Amino acid sequence: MRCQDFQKWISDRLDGNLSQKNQKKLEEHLRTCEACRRYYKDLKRIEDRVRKLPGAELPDQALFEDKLRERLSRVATEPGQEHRISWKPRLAQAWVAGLFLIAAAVYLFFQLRPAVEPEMDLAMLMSYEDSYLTLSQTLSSDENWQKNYNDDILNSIYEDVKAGELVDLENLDIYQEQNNNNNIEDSFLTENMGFPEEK
Amino acid sequence: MNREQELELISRARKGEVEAFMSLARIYEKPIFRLIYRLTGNREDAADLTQETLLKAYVGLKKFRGQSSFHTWLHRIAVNETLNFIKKSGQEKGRLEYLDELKADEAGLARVASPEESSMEEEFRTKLEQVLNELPITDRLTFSLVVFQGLSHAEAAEVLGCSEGTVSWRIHEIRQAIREKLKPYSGELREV
Repeated sequence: MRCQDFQKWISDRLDGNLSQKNQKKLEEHLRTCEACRRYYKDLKRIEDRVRKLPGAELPDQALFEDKLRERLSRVATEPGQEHRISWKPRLAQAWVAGLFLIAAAVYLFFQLRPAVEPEMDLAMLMSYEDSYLTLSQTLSSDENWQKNYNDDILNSIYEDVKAGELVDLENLDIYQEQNNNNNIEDSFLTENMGFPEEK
Repeated sequence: MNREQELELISRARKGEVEAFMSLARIYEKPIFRLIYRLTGNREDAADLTQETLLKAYVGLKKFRGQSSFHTWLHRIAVNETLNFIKKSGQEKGRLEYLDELKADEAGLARVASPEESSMEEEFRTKLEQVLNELPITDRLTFSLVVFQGLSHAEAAEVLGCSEGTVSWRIHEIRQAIREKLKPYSGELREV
């Protein structure tokens, strides 16, 4: 081994990083090599001085710890704390936000699109007719009501029916028969809606 | 504090217990501050970087697997923070503040040493600080971790992200360089 290798061992020994076996070899070498002995003494003295150098003290330790505690507490209570550490919860949030936006878009599409007039079928017509019969009976029960509001209400019903398209008007005979039985101005409907007059 | 107690504090801190982490911080804040101060040479910067180091350690505690010691892990964070700071600031901080403090300390030594001894000691210590200050930042860091912080070569290697053998050789070379630079003062070295 060269002196250079032993000098490396001297450095290791100062740090407590040399095996017992190599320490013995080093000691044997130092007994016979003056240059390495001098090297060892110089390093030992420098090391002693270096380790005695004053270490800087933390300025205002109490203030430092108060500030640190406050910052740690803030971090601990921050709701997004976990999210900063992992990207996975963020991805989940993005998914939820995306789904919400899609749902909102679908909702708005159906809400804002132009309303399509429903086609009038027989069931709707029967519904109007039920309302008509109820109203007729109510109006018939009071002479004044009949006098004052009969025409207006009938007109209103007529407008409603007119707004729809009568595409599936079946059982017209039954409808007209019901009107006759209720003793209301049935000619009103037949005239205004184009229903054929009863023969 | 033994390792089990330390692991217990880490476990509680991981669950968000701030005071458990503060107990850990009280143990490590001073040595971490000293290391950073040795690298930056400025008290305020060192105090701020120590805060950042501890805060990052708290936030990243879930990543700490316990494969290395908490001590080593914390040093690694401190080193990263400090090197990033030095890189961002564009220059290594001067060592004037530290040298001023060193001179102030001499007053205390003068009371126990003779004026001649005191003068030689002061000259040598100032030169020693200057030599250490002139080391390249990586050498200063390696030397500080091993000599001032007392980390083993294996622990320093973990902090620096290199092999234990590399640390051993670097420390050996740094010591050789320091000895060479202090040769003109070898008289003081032997007599003080």
